[in-house]
Amino acid sequence: MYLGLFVLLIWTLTPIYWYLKLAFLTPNNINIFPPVFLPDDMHFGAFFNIFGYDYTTADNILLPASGQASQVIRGLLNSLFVSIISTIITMIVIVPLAYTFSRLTFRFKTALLLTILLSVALPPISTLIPFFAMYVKLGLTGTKFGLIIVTLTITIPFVTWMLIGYFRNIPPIEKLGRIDGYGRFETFLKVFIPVSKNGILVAAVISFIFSWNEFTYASILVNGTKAVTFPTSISSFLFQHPHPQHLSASLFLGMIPPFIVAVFLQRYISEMNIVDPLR
Amino acid sequence: MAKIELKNLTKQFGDKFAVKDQNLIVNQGEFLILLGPSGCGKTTTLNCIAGLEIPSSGEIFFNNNDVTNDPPHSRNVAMVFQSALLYPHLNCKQNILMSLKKTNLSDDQKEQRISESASILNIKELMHKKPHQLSGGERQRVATAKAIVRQPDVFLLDEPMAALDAALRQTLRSELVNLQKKLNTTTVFVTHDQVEAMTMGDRIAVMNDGKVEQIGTPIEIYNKPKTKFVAGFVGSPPMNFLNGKITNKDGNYLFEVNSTMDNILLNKDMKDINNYRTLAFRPQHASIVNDNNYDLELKIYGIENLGKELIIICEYNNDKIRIITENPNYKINDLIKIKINKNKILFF
Repeated sequence: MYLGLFVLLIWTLTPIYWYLKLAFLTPNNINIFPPVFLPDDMHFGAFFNIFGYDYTTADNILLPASGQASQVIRGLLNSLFVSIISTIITMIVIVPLAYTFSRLTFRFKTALLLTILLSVALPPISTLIPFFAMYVKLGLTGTKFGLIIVTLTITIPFVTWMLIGYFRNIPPIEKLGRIDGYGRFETFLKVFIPVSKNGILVAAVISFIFSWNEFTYASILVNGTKAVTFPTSISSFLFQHPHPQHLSASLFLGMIPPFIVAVFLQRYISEMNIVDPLR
Repeated sequence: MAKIELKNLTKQFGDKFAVKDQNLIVNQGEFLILLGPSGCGKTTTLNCIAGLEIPSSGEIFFNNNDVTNDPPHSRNVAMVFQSALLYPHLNCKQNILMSLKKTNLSDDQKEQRISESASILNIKELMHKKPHQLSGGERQRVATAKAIVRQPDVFLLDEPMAALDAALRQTLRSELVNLQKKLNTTTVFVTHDQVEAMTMGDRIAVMNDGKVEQIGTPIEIYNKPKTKFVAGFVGSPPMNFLNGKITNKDGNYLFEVNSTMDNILLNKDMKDINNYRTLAFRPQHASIVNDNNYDLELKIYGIENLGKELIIICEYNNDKIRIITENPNYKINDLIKIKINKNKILFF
């Protein structure tokens, strides 16, 4: 039991440790063999470099700013913008959508639900070429607007699926609301949403992480343009003169939002149960 | 207070009838029980009275006013739902207050109503707790307080005690009846538990398959069930049924049981003998005898000791027959002879 856990921890944490360590090293230290577990002269130089600042270490080594700095900064801002807007739109769409599928009965419900869920099963790569062709014609390549649309096609089905399971476990308080004099829509707005706010919050966060991490579409549709996102701007390090410490520092930044979210919300996330949505 | 009248009430879901052509009158101040197995349409009937469901056809009258299409709130009904449902995100006081949100009362009046109903149900110290911090009985009391605070004309309860344990249910039963008599509010109570029905109701309406099979006082329902369904559903342990036919032999009426061909000698005053196919008797209306003057010989299948008495379960003709006795000296697989009290038997 514990051995399994141990192996799993090593398996997941070692690469993370290995990569993150690079962010705090000078290029010389990176090349030392055998590698040191935690070198003494660690510094935050790489973090200054990727934002376009030179950095001088304690022993007077000048670390020049990264040539990718403008892409990284723009990527961060764009990612933040795209993620927030996508999350807001996603939530406006999915809360009523998940409510409809989990709490109401109507004709062709199963068929309609399957159509939505089918898009969860589609790998993004399979719709990439159609999207690209369409976007070229519409002039949406390299725009944040286009990226938001494409991000929504990922977040909406998946988060709807999650929220349906959560909504279904909420007791039938709509009846209570209607006896107390609330109309159907008022009950949804003033009773149901407050009751399910934890689940909705988790859904919003998951949607944010999905948008933040989205890479497949962004790498084709916006990479190298003004609308570049953070993950794609990191990937462009791969084609430059190698600066592992810069790549590593960027990765570090990219991990922060999901990490914060996971720590603060794990209590609520465990409340969500992703069940068979057709049950 | 209101008199409720249902006229030809029908509710269809797709092509399935949940309630079919139902007629029912609940008198002013009456405690009426809707009793039936799950899926018999009792909750749908209640939801139609509440206004949560709009009937497919038929009419609902409160004090001779047609309310069939009115929304729940304008009917001035209060409802307690299965397992005493409350808003999980609000504390008890806010929960009770929600009942008064859409009324024209001033804040002082609301405050006063809440404290009145809280003291009636003895829940003053629970007011700042959330529902998940309450025990089953406390939840039940808070849900009841939430219902009575509006001073409704009609009080509707949908299996409110189904999730509680037996001991607590027993306490709450009498509390609820006592409260209903004090307030004298017309009450409709849905349950599938026949003990609850027998002990609480002024009258019981036994439902089956979307229809009321029989309506009457608990005693009427128990002693004079009109249909085999009612006879089998009400009473614990359940009634015994024997299938067969009545024959007339030399002026004596005999009930001949199917396949075993045992004969049971009946009283002389039999009528309509050709219409009956089932003989029914309650477990306490048969006794175990030792002489040769017996009706059936049975093999014991199981014994349930209730302390005061025992229920002997016998296997007969692929069915079970239950007999109540006070003699504890029987064992499984013993053969016993029983005699049925002919004055108490029923035919269907």
